Amino acid sequence: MKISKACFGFWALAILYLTPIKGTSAQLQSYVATSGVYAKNPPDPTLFDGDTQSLQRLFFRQIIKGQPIKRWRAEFNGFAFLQGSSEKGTLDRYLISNFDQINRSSELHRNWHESDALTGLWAVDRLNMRGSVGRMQLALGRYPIDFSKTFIYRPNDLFAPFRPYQFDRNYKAGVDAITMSYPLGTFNTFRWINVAGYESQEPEGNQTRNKFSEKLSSSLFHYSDNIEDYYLAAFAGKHRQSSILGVSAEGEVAKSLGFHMDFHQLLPDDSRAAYVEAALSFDYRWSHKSIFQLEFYNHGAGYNDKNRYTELEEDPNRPVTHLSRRYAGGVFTHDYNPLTTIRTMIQKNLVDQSVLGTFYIKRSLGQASELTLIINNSNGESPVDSIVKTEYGSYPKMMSIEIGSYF
Amino acid sequence: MTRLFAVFCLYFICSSQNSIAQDAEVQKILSDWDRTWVDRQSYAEVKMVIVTQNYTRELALKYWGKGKNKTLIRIVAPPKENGVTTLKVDGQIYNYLPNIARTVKVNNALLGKSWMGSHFTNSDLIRSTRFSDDYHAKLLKKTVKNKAELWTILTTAKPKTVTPWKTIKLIYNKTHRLPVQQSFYNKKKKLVRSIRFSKPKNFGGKLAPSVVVVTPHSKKKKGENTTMIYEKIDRKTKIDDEIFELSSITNY
Repeated sequence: MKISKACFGFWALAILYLTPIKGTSAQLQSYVATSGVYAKNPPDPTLFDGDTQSLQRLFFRQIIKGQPIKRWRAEFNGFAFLQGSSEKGTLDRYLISNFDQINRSSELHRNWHESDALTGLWAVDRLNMRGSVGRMQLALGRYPIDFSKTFIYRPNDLFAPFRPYQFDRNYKAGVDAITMSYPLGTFNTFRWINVAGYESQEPEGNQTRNKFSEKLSSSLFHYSDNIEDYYLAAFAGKHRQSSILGVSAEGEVAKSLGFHMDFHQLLPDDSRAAYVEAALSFDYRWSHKSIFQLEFYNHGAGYNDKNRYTELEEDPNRPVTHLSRRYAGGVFTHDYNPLTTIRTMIQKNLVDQSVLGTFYIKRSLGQASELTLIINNSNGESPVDSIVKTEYGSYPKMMSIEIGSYF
Repeated sequence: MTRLFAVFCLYFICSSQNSIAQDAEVQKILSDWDRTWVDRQSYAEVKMVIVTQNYTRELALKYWGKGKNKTLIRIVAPPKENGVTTLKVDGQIYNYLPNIARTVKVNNALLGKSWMGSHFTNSDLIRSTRFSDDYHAKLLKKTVKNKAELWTILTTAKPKTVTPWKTIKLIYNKTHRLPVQQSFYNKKKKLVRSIRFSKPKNFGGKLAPSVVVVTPHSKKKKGENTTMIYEKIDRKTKIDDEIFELSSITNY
């Protein structure tokens, strides 16, 4: 813990101190937003306190980028919010995406206000330095890592992944890592990626806590290239308590028809059986304004029997993003005009037949502000006494609206 | 009869020579046109103003180009799009979205798509084609306006050229060696949009238009345009090949 404090202290000082001195290339960017959510809960009083609930949030994000040393760039990206909700806690797992703490030290995450009606929280999403020594490129600190090339189901998004119900994916959260990259050509790069793992500890009051864990850390080799008209990448190594071997690809199979693929096999170090995670996505574009994406997902860690979902939720080695074995999803995106994007997404759990539909509209309000409306409608058997009967049937039906401004 | 035949041969040889010289001059114009802003290498800072019926917005861009095949564009303002990067090397195009740390391969189907809501297409911005390599050209006419000789050239895409524009008409100021106008036609030979070049400035020892205005000609987009203002062009400072590597753009 002392090491991680010292480490982050160093990067914080490096960025906050060196950047103003050199000054010339520092960039500041802020985002402030206010949002409201109304949810209708599944009828299970053991999981949800009321039939309906609402939440209001004031959110602020600050980004600082600078070049304190020649050939080295520093980045800080932190956020804070204050939210009030009618039923504290129950909506959090659906709305808060940045708190996957397996690869993020809890030292940069604080619950700064807690009262009957309000929760205040801040966290650092990114705090890193990137630069080069000769041809070798280095990235140190907290930054996002993403091997995925698919959209809805993203099996190769291994670290602090987007949640399946997280539709507005404006920022990808960072994880604590060191990456060494060696470009072998214009498109082909060899990377060695080390991501710190953390084990949960007993909370201290309202503060979640974790400590560095060797066994939950990851070390991967990653190679990517552009062959003919296709992007291809392969990776292998240790991912937490498993060995992993994976592939990502994307390209165009015919005019206007693109494909994207994620695949990996996990071989757990313990007695658990090996399993495959794979997603295949096709997209079709027309008129430069509309795109339709169709995705299929094999979630090897999930079950073909909905009665076994509870086992998966109780297994600490398998962070739950999905419960069943097979999924299909479709997304239609239409740029109504350069100011307005409309998107509709349908996800279907092919094991329990539950469905999650999402409608999303984003409208720019001038040069730097935007309005986002998201409506989620879930369909499936509701949970009973906290036992999940169908995956999407355990989701609330939600409507959220957010107005945000960049400056 | 023999004399008449000799005169005919002489006329034929002269006109052929004249035609060959003219074709060579057209090719030189196309080559010059391609190198107006990017010669062997250049770095530019550009302001883009987009005017549509619904809104007006401004972008600030940094632009690196090297040789025929390497282009890198990075948005530096407004804050919402800061860091969004487009890389083109050897016909392969990638976008980098820093907020989600994702590189996305841009398929050929998107070459004709509007770039960041402007009236420029992806193809325009990344210089996906070059007149001198990818188009056949024919001189249509020569005119004189304000003491400057203007050449109008019709270009048609070669069969293997991947481009949304099969026919483009160019007007070139041969006296000052500057592009004046580009007109784009669809398959039905209807004018779809035009690009006008003006306010030449000396950038690094070479004269180039500092203002580029693209105007769509459809009724639905009446009154719309996008203006690109070149604020700085540096042709001398060495640009490392490294910045055109995919791994480098993600380090921004």
